[in-house]
Amino acid sequence: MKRIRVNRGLAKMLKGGCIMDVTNEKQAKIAEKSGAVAVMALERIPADIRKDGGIARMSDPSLIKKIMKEVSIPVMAKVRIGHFAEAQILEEIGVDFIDESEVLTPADNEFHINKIKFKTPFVCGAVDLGQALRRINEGASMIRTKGEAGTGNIIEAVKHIRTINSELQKLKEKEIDIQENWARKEKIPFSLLK
Amino acid sequence: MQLGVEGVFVGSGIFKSSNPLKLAKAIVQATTYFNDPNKLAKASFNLGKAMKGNELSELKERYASRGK
Repeated sequence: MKRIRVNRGLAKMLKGGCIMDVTNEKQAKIAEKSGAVAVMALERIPADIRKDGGIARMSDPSLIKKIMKEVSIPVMAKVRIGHFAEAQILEEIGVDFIDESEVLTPADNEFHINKIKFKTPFVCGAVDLGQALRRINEGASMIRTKGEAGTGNIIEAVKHIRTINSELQKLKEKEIDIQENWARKEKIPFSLLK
Repeated sequence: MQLGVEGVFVGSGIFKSSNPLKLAKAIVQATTYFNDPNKLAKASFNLGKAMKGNELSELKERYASRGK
């Protein structure tokens, strides 16, 4: 429980900043030099994952380690949705944040990782308020909108930001039993919604 | 940022552009000074070629629909 507060604090430290995808030490250095608050270490950027097709997995830990050595800012890395073993490995090698990411091929079509079990903070994607709160309930410390990664097209990201904000606004104005109903339907504890 | 988010993840855009360092710096500037059109304008000059990107209708797979 204490860990959640620490991890949310770590997430807050990145507020107002940019987190950049990098695939090698040289790119990580460029990102750091440009003022990024953190880097996301991965073998292929989303545009190339899209182009290549096939299964996308966690990056080789040796690549992530090399990038961690190269820069002094926090290093994040991605795991497949539901792939808790990949997350255990990333925690073991000491990444600063784990991104349970839809950009990689999902490993579990029912469950996301039980993130409360981990010391390392998690960031997760969401397209609406229900997803965002379900991820927080599972232990995520930061929520990012999913957008449509690797397309260079921001229309989906804008849609997701507006959706989350407007759902939150609308729910706030509703009576308590309607809020409770919504929480039940979305499988979120009402206390979290509040 | 003006829509109410608290930070920005930049994916493929930077290292698919013709001048990554310059673009990355400009993106950081724009994120920091998101409410200052003067700074935004200054950051926008001569950034070179941006990533090509896709129209959503061309996509074989939508990643955003993964994970509920």
